[in-house]
Formats: sequence, structure tokens, C-alpha cells
Amino acid sequence: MIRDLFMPLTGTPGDTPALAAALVLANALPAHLSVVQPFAMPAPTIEPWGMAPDITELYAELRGEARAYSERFRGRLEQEGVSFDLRLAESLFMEAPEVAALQARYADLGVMVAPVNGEPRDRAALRRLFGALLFDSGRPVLAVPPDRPIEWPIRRAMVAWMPTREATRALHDALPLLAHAAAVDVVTVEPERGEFGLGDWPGADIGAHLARHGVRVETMTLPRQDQAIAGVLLRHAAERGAQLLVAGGYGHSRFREWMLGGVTGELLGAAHVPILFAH
Amino acid sequence: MVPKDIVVFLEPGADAARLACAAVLAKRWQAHLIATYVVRPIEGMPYAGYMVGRALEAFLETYTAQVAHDVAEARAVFDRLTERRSFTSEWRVSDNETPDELMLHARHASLAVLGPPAAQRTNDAPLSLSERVLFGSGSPCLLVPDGWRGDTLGRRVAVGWNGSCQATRAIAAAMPFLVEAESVDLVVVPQAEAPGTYGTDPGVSMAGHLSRHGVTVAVDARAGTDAGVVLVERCAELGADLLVMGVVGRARISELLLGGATRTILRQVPIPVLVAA
Repeated sequence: MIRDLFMPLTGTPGDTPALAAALVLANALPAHLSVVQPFAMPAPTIEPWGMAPDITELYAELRGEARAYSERFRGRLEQEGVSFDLRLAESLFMEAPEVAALQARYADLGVMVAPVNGEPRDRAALRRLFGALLFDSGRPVLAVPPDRPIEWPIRRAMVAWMPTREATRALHDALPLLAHAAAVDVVTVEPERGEFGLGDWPGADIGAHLARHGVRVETMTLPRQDQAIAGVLLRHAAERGAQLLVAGGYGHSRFREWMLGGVTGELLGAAHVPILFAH
Repeated sequence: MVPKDIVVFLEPGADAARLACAAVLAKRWQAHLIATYVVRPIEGMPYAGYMVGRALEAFLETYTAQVAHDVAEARAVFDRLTERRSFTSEWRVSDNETPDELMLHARHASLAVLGPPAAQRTNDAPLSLSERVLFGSGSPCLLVPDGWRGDTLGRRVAVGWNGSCQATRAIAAAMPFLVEAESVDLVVVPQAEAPGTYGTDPGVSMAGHLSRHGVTVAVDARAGTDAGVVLVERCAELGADLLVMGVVGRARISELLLGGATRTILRQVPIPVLVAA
């Protein structure tokens, strides 16, 4: 059951479509929507003379700006009549994406816009936010396309299946949404068959698992034909008219800096359909 | 979502409590019950590598006979327990499967029921089956202590909340239990060193999230610096029959072992524990 949605404000033009998508879900499920503006306060630095500058005024100003920005969305939220809260979450010691990840822990699903188009700086900010939500929140993330409204009810959803820990989590986390879908495609891309791969009928076992939850499942395998896996998945989603894609999110650790894995990053950057990721 | 398929992992000498717990849950949620019996690998037998000639043959014969006997015995218990029940069930034997194949049993189910990690660790297998499934599968796991004879499971629930990613996942996985529980105590230990971060009011935001799911929850803020000790004590005081908590792993070359604190809790708590990594 999804009863709690979380949407971080990012200060990018993507906030508007993200909010629109979150509101569609909040209305349909129905769920409470927490819209949170995370922001990092600059830490006070000591000047060479040993004097700490008075930054109370600066803080007040920054807070005021953040509040003014978040308040822009209040009208839209009130208009919908959903249960919501709109608040700031500030931190001295953490960056905004980390604050967002902490706040996301109090919800069932985080909603954000996918960095598909727009300014490179905004896209970079969104990728960082996505990384934080995916790896640090413990909750799934729904990345929605910026230029297409989310469709509800879901007629067809698609699960990109690999027998891995991440895909398993994505599937578990997506179950409440998949239960709303009229039909679900479980897709494997050019799987290794047989004893050491996905078995003789890839996706059959996980299909049975979904079916026990009352989901109408079709399992299929797609040829890769030397193309990028993300492209194969997204093209299939377009051809089948899928309104939701579910995928495991992968990363490579490099000290504390997380980098998105290949397919995850490609899916995120080209999302023309809402994609639910979990790690 | 209520679990619709539950897999219980059994190994030679597995306690009956585990299967009984899984059956209780399968009945409660009308879920499909899968028992996966994991055969002890031949490499795990003492002196297996030193056999030659006739001795090897004899050894293999004994091994095969022993395995067949153990499987038959476990199967008989399973059959007795699942006979004429309201839920469907399935028996599997996992013999010499690759680690990934073994994980699939859990990945294709909503919940994995396992034994206590500490008791399973033997000299030849430093990493217990529970730890492998817990860290490798991505599925939520219910660890049932050997000899658990509680009449109830999940009526009075203690939740260890330290603000971490793992605890978040554990709570999400435990939601079907929490919504049906009579009482849920969200135990927070603000003074303890925690991997996660509490907000300004420890536990309040999480309690809000739980109550939006219709869970009746009490925030139980405790003094103390060792969250593990506090948690073990609270479970006893509350008469809890289920503990929900996140577990942290410690890297061991390529696999994960339970972290020290987690292992201590799991060894000391006499009740089933729902965990996520």
C-alpha cells in the first residue's frame, strides 16, 4: 500500500511536472503528499582576525527565499484537495540531496522529475538528487518524464527483470503500483538461459510470484542486437504503450561519491515513461 | 502488500519452529508456502578432501544415504504440517545450487523465513545461509530463533528505529505485520551512536508515516548509549513477539557478514526478528 508520497523541490523547472505527477498519484492512490524543500545553509567561516561574521541576517534571507519559492506551489496543492504538507528542511552540515534522502525515509515512494532535458546544471542537480534518493533513502524513486503527464489508471506496466538483488527490491517496492495495472509485461533482455542463467523460461518464476499477487503477467524476452539495453527497454515500453517501467537501480561506489550504473543512468536520461527504481 | 508467497529455508537439523512460523503466516495471509531444503554440500563434510579409492566410494555412499534420509525426514515434517490446509504449498530441494540460484528462491518470494544466523555458523561455512540470503537476495527476511514456541507472531511488535536506510527498508517490509499488530512500539535511542540521523524529534516523523498506514504506534524514546542493549531489554519488557530492525553488514572480501552490534542483538533476542539489509 502506498499511503505516503514524498516530493523534494529542487528549484529547477522540473518541479512543476514532478508536482503534477505526484498530485495525480496522491489523488489516485490516495496518498498523503509531503512536498519538502531541502536546502543547505552555508556554514559560518571564521575570518583571519578570529571573528565570526554575523550571519543571522544572511540565514534569515536564505530562509525567506526558500520559503518564498516553496510557497509558490501551495496554491496548486490546495487546489487539488489532497492531504499534504509543504515545508523546508534545512541543514548546516549536509547538502540538499542528502537532506532529501533523509526526508524520503518517512514516505513510501519518492517522486522526482527525470533529467531528460533542460539546462546542464539543472540536469546535474537532478542526477545528484536521484543518486541520493536511490542509494541513501532506502525507498523507491519514481522518475517521471518532464514533458509528459503521468497517466492513471495504468493500463500496462513493464518490469525490466534481472535475477538480482536490486531488481528484486524494485519489484517488491513496485507491487502496490503494479496491483493497479491492468496488465504487466515482465521483460528480460537477451537473458542467459539454462542452468546458470535465468532458467529455460526467463521470467517464468517471477511471473508466478506476481501472479500470486493478482497481477496479470506476460513474460517476454527481447533480443539485444548489439544495442544499449536501456534503449531496448524504452523502445519496448513505447511500442507496448506502457505507462510505468520498473527497474533495479545500480551504482558503482567511489568513496562516498555514487555514480550511476550504465543502464540506470541511460534509462534516467531518456525516460519518456515514469520509471520506478530501487536499490 | 500482504505477502503472497513465503519461502522457508531449511537445512539439516533445522528447528521445527521455523516451518511452523512460516505456516502460520501462510495461513494468515493465504499465501503460497514454499519450503526450500538446502542440502549440506559435500565440501562441507569433514575430511571430504582426503578420501581416495574405496574410502571415497564408501564416503559418497554414506553421504548420499544421509542426504536422502535427512530430506525424507524433513519432507515428512513438511507434509504433516501442510496436509489439508487452507493455503497451497510446495517442496523444493536445493542440491548443489550456485549461490545465485539459491538466492532466486528468495527473490521470487515476498518473504524469506530463515533460522538464527549465529547457530548456523560452522567451522567449514563461516557465512551462514541466513546471512547470505539476508544480504544477497534483496528480499525481507524473518529470522526465527530455534525453539521459538510463541503462540502469537506479530501481536506486540517492537521496532528498532535509528534513522538508517536499512531500518527504513525493514519497516517498509514489516508493514503487513504492523498494520495487523495490537501494539507497535517505535523504540528510539537518541543518545546512541547511530548510522542514521534522527530529525529534531526522534521517531516522530516515522510515527507519522506509520500512522498514515493506519498503524497504532507509540514512540518509545529510551535513554542509553547502546541501542542494541536497549532494544533487547525493551523486547523483554514489552513481551514483544516480533522485533523489526535494519541490519548492517561488514564487508568480508566479497561478501557481507553481520555487523557486530547486529549480531549481538540477534544472538540475544529470543523472539522472531524481521530484518532488511
